[in-house]
Amino acid sequence: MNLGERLRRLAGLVGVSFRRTYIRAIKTAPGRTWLSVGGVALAVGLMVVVAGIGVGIATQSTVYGDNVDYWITPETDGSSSALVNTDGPRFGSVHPTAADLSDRESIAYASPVLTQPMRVQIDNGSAENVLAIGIVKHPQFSTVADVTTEGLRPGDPYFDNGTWTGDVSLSAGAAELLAATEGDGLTVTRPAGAADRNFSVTAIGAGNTTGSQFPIMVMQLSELQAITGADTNDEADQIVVSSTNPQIRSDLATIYPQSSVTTRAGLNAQAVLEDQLPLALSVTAAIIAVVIGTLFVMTTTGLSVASDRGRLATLAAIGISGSTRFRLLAIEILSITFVGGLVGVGLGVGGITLANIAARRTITSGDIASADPLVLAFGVVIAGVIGLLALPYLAVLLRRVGTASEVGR
Amino acid sequence: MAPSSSTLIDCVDLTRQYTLGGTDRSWLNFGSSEIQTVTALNGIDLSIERGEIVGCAGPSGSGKSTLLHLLAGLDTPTRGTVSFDGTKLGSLSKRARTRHRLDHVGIVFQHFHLLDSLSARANVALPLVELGRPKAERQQRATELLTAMGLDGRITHRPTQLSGGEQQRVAIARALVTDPDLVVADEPTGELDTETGKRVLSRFREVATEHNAAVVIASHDEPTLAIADRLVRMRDGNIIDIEKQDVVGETPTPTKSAAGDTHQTDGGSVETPESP
Repeated sequence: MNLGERLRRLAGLVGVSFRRTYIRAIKTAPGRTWLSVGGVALAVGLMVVVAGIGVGIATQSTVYGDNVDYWITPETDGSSSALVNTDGPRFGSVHPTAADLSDRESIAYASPVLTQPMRVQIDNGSAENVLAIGIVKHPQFSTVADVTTEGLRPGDPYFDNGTWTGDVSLSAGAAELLAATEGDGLTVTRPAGAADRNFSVTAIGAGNTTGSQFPIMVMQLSELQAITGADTNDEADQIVVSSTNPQIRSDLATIYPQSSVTTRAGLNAQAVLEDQLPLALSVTAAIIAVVIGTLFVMTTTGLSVASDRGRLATLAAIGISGSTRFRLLAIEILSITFVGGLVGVGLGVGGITLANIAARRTITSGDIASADPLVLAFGVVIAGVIGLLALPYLAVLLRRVGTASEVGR
Repeated sequence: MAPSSSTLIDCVDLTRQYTLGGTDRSWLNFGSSEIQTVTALNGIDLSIERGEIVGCAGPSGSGKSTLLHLLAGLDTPTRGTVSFDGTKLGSLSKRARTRHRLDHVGIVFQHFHLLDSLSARANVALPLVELGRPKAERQQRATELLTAMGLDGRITHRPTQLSGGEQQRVAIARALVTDPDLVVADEPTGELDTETGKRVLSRFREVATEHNAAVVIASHDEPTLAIADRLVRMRDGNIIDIEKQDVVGETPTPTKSAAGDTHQTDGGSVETPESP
């Protein structure tokens, strides 16, 4: 049989298989077919919810939810923990680099991000530790780490023309911790011998997201550099870039030697992999989903082959080879598990929505689960794995179907 | 005896025994075997020529269906050989026998054995899918055969929407779709009315004469068997008589079955699945 005949046979086989599956689903065996779909959907749906919660937990400590698509970070630095990792290597000359990037047509904006834990004090208040984040303000860069940047003036005036703004945006958590309101003065405690710098609170985040519950203050990058000594080499921990052009990733990687570029999806995956609890949650959920789904599909496959013995024996009798019979049923199983996977992803998204609603009403003001596209794709992949794992059992079942004895009945 | 150039099938000492109870448990009984065997065919010798129609007659349990299964390569003999065009079927692997049936044999089952989720045309074209024929060719060939069987209005119907006689004709069309060298048919006119039965039998005659194929028909219906060039009478797994028949004039008229060719549909909406 030449290649053309093999391809025509495969195409015909797929057509027959789809038709059989369709007719079985609506006419001849709807109960069994939809039971298989439901079993896979339930397993995948549960996995998507649990994995979504895992991703939700992992990404709460990242620069997540901002209008940012790419993160450029030093290779030895974990991009997902950049906000709290201040001891790693930093990039230098970040202002001109970010300005060059922002000038490109395909890039909406680029901003260096510097993070530093600091001890701050509201006038007549107590000193508290907060996480300071320095950025170059752009109108579209509206939030960072779930904290509004609206209180900052565009650009970086102190770097551009030496004008000290002293503008600070506080997260809801920081405002609560410091008992601060808009317009309050704020002092950053500096090492002995160095002059304190004064700031004023120009904006406070709404506090409707999980990240906003952390004590964070956002300020102009050059002002944070000035009070931390990072202005000497114009340093920052990372550079964030907003662009919808996927082609620029390789360009971004060449800007700094020994740097890596992470996409939003990659950052979420990396966040899960770097955080052991969400990783354990996701892996356990995937294993349980695969086991439950595979057992479900294997059971219904067994029932299906038992009731189809006569038809399968007929196919053998009229000369349809064992491999073709296997492929015919394998395509049916994979079709059913694929549909189950899609339904399961839908159920999972619904479950994530419900989990977030329940969480907001009880334990937190933000989302605890994320319907990340990677998690949804993972659900479909798991459905495929369930189908593939059921195939060896199908092969064993088919070997037990006799030809003459069945068609002789 | 070496087969002559026109001999398609040569059966020598053909024996088929079945074990009752299925499993040999003698090792559990320390050597005392409780296996019971039934001899369905008992050492028969039979040659079948190309272009010949052979009828098999005999009461139920006489071995007709077993003989058909062995000739078609659906089963293997306990003893003896079936040579098909010089190839001993018993020496072929299961896979090779399956391919042999696809390439050389058309089978009409007593109970049709159509796939109920496929249309009549898709059922007929199924062997052509396995052969990798183009879709247009598959559909054209299946449509031609179904039309020849008087089913031109029922091509896209599924088996559950067809009467028993119509299903029988679909099964016959499926058996003929690959132009086989051998057609074996178990009670092919059992569900057909008189006129349709005649049409089917004349089709078998065409297959035998025009395509030089051998046709073996097992039936209880003497008028159906009248089409045969030779009539093999069987009893208790043995051939008790082989009659050479003179077949002249028009196709014999088979006895109308009790079931007739009454049109029975499932009453549901008509699904029209396309051919593969």
